[in-house]
Amino acid sequence: MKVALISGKGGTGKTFIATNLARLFNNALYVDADVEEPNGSLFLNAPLLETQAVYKHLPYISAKKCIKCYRCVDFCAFNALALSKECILLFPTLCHDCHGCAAVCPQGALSYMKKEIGHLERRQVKETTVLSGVLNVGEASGTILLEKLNELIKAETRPVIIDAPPGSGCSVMAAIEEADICLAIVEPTAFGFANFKTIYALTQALGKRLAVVVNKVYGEFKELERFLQAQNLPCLTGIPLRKDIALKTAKAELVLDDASCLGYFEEIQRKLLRLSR
Amino acid sequence: MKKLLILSGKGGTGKSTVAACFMHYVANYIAADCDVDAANLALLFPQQNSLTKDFYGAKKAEIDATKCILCETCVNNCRFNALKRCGTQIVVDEFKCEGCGLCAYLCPVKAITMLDDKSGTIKIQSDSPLLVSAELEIGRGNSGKLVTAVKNEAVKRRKNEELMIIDGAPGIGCPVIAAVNDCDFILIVTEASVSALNDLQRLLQSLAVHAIKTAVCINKADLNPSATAAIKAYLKEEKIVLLGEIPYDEQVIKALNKQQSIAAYKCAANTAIHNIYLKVCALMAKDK
Repeated sequence: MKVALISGKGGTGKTFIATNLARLFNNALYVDADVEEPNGSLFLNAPLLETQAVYKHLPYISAKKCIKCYRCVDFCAFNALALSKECILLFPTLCHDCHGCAAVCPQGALSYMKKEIGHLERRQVKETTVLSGVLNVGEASGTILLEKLNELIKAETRPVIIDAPPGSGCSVMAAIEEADICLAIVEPTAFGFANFKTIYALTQALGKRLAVVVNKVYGEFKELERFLQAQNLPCLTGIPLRKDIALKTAKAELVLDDASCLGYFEEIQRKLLRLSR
Repeated sequence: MKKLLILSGKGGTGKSTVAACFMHYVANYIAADCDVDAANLALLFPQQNSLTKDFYGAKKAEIDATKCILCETCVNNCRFNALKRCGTQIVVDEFKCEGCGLCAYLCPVKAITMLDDKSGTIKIQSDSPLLVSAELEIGRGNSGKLVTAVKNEAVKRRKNEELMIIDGAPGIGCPVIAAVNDCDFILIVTEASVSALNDLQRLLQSLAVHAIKTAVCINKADLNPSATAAIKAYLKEEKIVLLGEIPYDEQVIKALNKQQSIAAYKCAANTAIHNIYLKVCALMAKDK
């Protein structure tokens, strides 16, 4: 079973639920795919066992060979190359690593340099393996890191819990690529509901199965209930808004030692296993 | 006009709550919701008059099957794995194609055309106050470009307003980088948690290259005093201004669920946010 936790809105409790859930399984792989702001290893804390650098390619233009025909500048769809009188300028964060500039260069003046954009970290917390993607500060896109994580997830036979980034854009799509179930963590508020509808549409478009956990339940939020019923989406559990849970989570502590919390996670686990069968 | 951007690093710390309050306090301003992945501000400011504009941020490859000779040059050269052979056809994965155009360039029989692709919708609420927001098309990844388009649209429609309030996205990636560009002041809303501090540190590191005046406020500060103390110590060390602490207040959730800003309520959170607002104004006025 490979499950990806998504939310649309940030701060609904993806990492809180993903880390606790991962520890509940006997031998899960927890993957922190929120590479811009990876926090999973704060909750699943253990000495770093291994790091692996992840690179992207950046074009390097040989000034000797360049005849300033600017074909590369014209070709670049991402405006990563610009012309100046003396040379061609590169804006590294805009480069999508498509290799188009080298293909159009008539002089063979372009080659590629490797640039580290981030790294993967591996930890072991008892029987749970913790794999985090960490994007270097200043980089615009973590998609390449997510591709590396996906290669590892693909080959995995243990249960995999993927902690996706917030939003609904390209990084979320990449984070859920290998998941067979998406688990939306929804806050029953006007904001939470609005953003949930967006990721619902995303999972539909990508043909992913979707289940829901409602987190921070505080009174009733009928619109969400009606929507889940109308779309026939399974709601695995509702976790109440409790100050004690909020405090433990704010301290990056797990809540499984509290019997009143453990029940919610056991329910999620049981229903996920049933869904994945 | 001064541009005030609200960021957070971690999601869900209260960016939009603070932005919505500011929008109630100020009289003459324009606003842009630059969290295009999960835009919410418009929910709190429903208006009669709104118009939408399609946004074309990139192109997508389209293959003319009648010309294609199945040489698979495109498949083998695509860096995004967006092309695949399925039987006697090459198929483009519209979600993976980033629109670089390399396949069209390399195709020996010119069977590939790059077509404009709608990657979002810009929504303009033109009653006073002007609020521009956007919705990213499902499965499209041009959020940075869309953020820039939202800001430009708001600036274009400005009359005599002297302040632009920009609600940013969580994280440190392209939508944040696009939002930060040419801002005058950044207010970071963090919260009293270990995760939020970690994210705040990464955000501040990524902002360091921009040299934009930046200040921080701590939401739900009373919930976890040890995290609040750690954030304060970090800010002191980095010489970053702390503008105030917002207490945990259930009124915030109650108001949000009525689709109202807490600026309309007499409560502790509102008082704290108003004080922060006054300090932001003072700091922005000092600038130049």
